[in-house]
Amino acid sequence: MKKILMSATALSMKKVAFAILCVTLLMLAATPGWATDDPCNAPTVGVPAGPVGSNDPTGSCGVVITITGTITTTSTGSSGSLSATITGGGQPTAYDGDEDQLVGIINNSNVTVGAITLTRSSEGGDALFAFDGDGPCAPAQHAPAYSWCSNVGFTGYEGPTNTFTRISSTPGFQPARPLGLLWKIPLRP
Amino acid sequence: MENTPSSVGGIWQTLVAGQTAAFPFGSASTDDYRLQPINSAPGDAALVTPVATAFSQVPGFATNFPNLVCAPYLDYRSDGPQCVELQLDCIGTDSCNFLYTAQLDYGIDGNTDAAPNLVGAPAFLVQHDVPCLTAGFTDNIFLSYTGSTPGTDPPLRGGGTGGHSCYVSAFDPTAPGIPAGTTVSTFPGFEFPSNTKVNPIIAGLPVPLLWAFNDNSGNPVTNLHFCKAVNANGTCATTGVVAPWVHLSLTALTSTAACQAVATPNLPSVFNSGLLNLKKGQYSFIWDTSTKIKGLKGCQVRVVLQFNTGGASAPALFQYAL
Repeated sequence: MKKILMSATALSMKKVAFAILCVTLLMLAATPGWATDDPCNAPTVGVPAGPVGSNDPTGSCGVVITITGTITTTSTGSSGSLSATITGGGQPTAYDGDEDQLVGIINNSNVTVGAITLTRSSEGGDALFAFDGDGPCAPAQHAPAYSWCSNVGFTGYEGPTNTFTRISSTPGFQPARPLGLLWKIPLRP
Repeated sequence: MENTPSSVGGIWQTLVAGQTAAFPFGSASTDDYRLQPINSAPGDAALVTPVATAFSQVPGFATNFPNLVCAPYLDYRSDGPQCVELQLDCIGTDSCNFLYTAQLDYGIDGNTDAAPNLVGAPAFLVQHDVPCLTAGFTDNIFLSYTGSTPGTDPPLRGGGTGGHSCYVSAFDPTAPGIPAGTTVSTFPGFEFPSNTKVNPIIAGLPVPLLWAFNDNSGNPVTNLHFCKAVNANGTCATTGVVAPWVHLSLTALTSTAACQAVATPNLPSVFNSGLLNLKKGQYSFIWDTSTKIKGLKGCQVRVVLQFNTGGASAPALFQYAL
């Protein structure tokens, strides 16, 4: 007889949306409200509102990734799967009017997600992780800097609760297999 | 980001020490890999990717285990029987060097060109730091298996360390089959103390550990040796010790400085010999808990048994009462 150890937290069906990632070029100036807040705090697709210097009343993101699925565990095994959909994106939602995107993630699954692998199949324009210094931590984009911008090793494109790892342009196994990985994102169901 | 992502290539589950993460795969409701880290760091996350490969009734798919064949999965059958290798990828601040127990569930393909007989001498093979598919499996982390009929779920359990690995379920086609419902274990856990309750300990008072050790067919192993120290690559660092051997260490689960300090790579014994062979596959180790470290009250630890096969287990939870 198998003994299954499954946390009550992991089995919770509670669905809570978290906006956890905002990596983008922000506008031109700053207000105290933007100094520490995550501007992509309400994961709905839309062009982030307001010039830099004013807080974004909508909390919109240019791209929203929604994770869904249910994993059910019984005494004979587990079933279910997780999937993700991407909405928004492209020039209409680019915060710079071109292609740079503010990305938010919603976890509607019943498990805690720690990271996701992101890919871009056709590299029209800039590559997905070709960070070129115009992220939210760039002084020219936002001042004063967000509180998380001083974290060691940050690229300047992170949000308050995520980081990037294993960025690669070549498919392969660890560490290169993912084409970019968002990590440390506390996406609880 | 500098552009719009086109797809999410993988969704990684957060791992929490002491909790089981389930990774279903395949089309049946039986296939899954369950991972329970024992001492992983906060924020570790894992992704499991199944990779199918053709089954052969002729042993030899694993170079280092020439007598074994891989186990065919019923729901992966496609123009013939198929095995599944599972690629576990992990990220974390501890480089995923944590101790874990794992369980693999699947329905065996019982067709005549697959595995029509009951499975005997099961194995849970792993190779670290390689992608699947691989023929270079190095360790057998098998701990237990419950016999089942074809098409039903045979739970295969193992334990080990590390996080970037390729796993496969295998068996010896010439070994006697394990009847349905019968469980064979190499190391089912301690006979004493409890594997299910928190065992209180008082620093200075010796703690007897008692267990049985068997081979993959459930037969007692009567010549288990004691390895006082292991190398980083999992080999025994004690001169003259030959397989089969066991090594004991202590891992701390509580984050206090005192608790972390009491953890030790080599568990001290009251006796110089360390392991006591009680015959008939029964073994004992008298843990010397004396320490000069103060402030251990409430500190939770686990004794880790590491075997020469690469398998490891930490079945019992201890807590310092004083």
